[in-house]
Amino acid sequence: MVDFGPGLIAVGAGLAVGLAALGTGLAQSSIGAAGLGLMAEKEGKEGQVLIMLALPETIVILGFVIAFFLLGKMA
Amino acid sequence: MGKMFEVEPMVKIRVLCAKRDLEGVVEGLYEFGAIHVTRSKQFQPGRPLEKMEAVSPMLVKTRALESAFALERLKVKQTPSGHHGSHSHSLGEMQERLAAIAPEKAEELARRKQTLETRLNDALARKKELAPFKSLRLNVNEIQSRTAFLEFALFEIQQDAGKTLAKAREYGSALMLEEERQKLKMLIAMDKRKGEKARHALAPYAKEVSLPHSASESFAHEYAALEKQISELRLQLSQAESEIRSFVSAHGAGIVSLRKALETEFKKAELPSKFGESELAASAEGWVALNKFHSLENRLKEKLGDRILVEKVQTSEFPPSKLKNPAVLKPFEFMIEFFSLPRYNEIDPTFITALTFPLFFGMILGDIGYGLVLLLLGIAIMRKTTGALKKIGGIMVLSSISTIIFGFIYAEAFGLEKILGFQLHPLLSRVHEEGIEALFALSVLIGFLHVTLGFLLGAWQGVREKHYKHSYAKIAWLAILFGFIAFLANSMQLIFTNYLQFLRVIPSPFDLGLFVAGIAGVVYFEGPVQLMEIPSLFSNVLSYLRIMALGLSGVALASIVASIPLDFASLATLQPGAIISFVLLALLLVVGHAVAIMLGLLEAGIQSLRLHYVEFYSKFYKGGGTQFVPLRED
Repeated sequence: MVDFGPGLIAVGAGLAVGLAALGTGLAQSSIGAAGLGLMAEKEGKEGQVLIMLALPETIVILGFVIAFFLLGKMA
Repeated sequence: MGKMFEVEPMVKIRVLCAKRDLEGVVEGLYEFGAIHVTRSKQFQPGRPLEKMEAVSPMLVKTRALESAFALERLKVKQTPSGHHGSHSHSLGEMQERLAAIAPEKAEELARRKQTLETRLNDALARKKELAPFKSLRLNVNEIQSRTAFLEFALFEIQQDAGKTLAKAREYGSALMLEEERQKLKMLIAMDKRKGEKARHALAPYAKEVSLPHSASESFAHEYAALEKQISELRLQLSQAESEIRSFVSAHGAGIVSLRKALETEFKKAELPSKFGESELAASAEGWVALNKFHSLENRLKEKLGDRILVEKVQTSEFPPSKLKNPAVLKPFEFMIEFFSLPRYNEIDPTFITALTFPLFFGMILGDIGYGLVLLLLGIAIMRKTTGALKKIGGIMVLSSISTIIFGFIYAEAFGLEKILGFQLHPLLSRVHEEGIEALFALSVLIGFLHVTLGFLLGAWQGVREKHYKHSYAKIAWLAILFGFIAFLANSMQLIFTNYLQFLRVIPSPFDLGLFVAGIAGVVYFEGPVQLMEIPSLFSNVLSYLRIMALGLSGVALASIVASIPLDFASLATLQPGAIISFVLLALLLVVGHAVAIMLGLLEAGIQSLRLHYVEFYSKFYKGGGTQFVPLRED
């Protein structure tokens, strides 16, 4: 009987980072477009745009944390 | 200590003077320089100085000369007289300087050059048009106008020249013209009545183009005349150009420095439109640094004696913000300005940012080799540039030093554990599992400390503004954070809390008690809606894990590049194959490291910045201050 367990954990870890990154990308795409629009309309808003753009990145970090723990389980 | 976090203390001043002393006051204020002039609300709105009417047309004329002779690109050394000391230029002196330049003659010269250029371009275009006919010794137009039955047509041959020519000769006499850029042209003389038929027959092979007109006796004749004209025009143009060159070398620098002087005088003449004036008196207002008030007062008194009154004004307006940090920290002011300037009574976070930004940057990149490259790059940018880029160079220098230090801690140099043959020994390895786990916990610890510091600064800001409610709310948030993490440390064995074990001094069940008390505090001081922010409080702390995560991906990239096998011994064989593969691998190694450095710089820079902007500043900093704009930059 082959043990699928570790393999499935590894797949889960990959999904955790990958899907989180996909979600972040989706969120950033519309924020980035809107942010560039704002910067074109109004000067001096670069700082705020950068903040807004950076907000969803935390999702990837959370995905990474989950993956880290999953990989820890595998060992 | 508190001074490090403050913006420059300002005082609003008002200068009252007699209207006839207005020009003296303007000169005095301008010499002093470090004043942010605001609109005075006393009396009637002021008008610019009278000399404006003389200065303005002179400025227009000098600017026109500058653009006509493309002097913007001219590098003009600052003459000592135009720099410090005598900031005043008398109107007469400037008029003399302008007259010495002889602007009318110069404008005429520029116009002449332009006319010549236009004529030359026209002639060249016509030459191109006539080129296929250059040996045709008859005037087609004239013949055509004289005869009733003959018609000339010009075709551009698309395919099969021989066949087309044969076809054309069925309708009249056809002549191949000289080739011009692979485009064969054919001139046909034919019976007018056959014209339509001929065009129809030729349509698949050739495209009819319009026949040029010539007033001369033949195309060949005009072409020859044109060539002569072009060489003449070229001669005249080169003469005009050499005249312009000698004009620019004689007057170019003078024009630029005169333009600068005129701009200064224009600004001065314009200044009183911000003042207030009555029939006899005038009033000027503005902000100056508190410690410079007396030097301003003395300067004006020196100039105008007792005829002037300088006073401090009580006002409820917000002063403009001027950051005051020591030179080492100055580059980091750029980050604050990029975010938003502090309001006058707000904490200036430059000092803290200058400590923590390089720390995070170094922790992420952490490589001796990459740090050295960035150090050199940063120094080069600082030396070669000005303004914002120079500040970025300064930030890079400090950040790269921290990168080198962390490079020793991680024992990484260009992705390897050795440097110039010396084996390095890591204090904390990002390659081995224990090291990675330690870095994980360390990142959480740093996040915890940074966020805590943010809340403490927020509480302090509340005290400074006497908004004690804000301070209590920040403390309540800290209670939530401390309570929850103490709870985790007490009840679970998590890698998160490896370095946060010290929070176990809060024993169970006081940890949960603290947590609940914090929630109650937030509800009381900020309202229940704010409880929505609790998850983001913890995600803020976890967000610092990017320090470790980005570091690991950077190490992976660097070690992949470092694993490119570069075998110096193979060179000794002197075989061409070995040498070529050595060169290609060396190139790959250099490009690979360059990419890794660029990515590292970008990622470490942006992510450290983000940790400040999003996770840190949100706890205490709002910004929104207005910039202090001095009358004259030093």
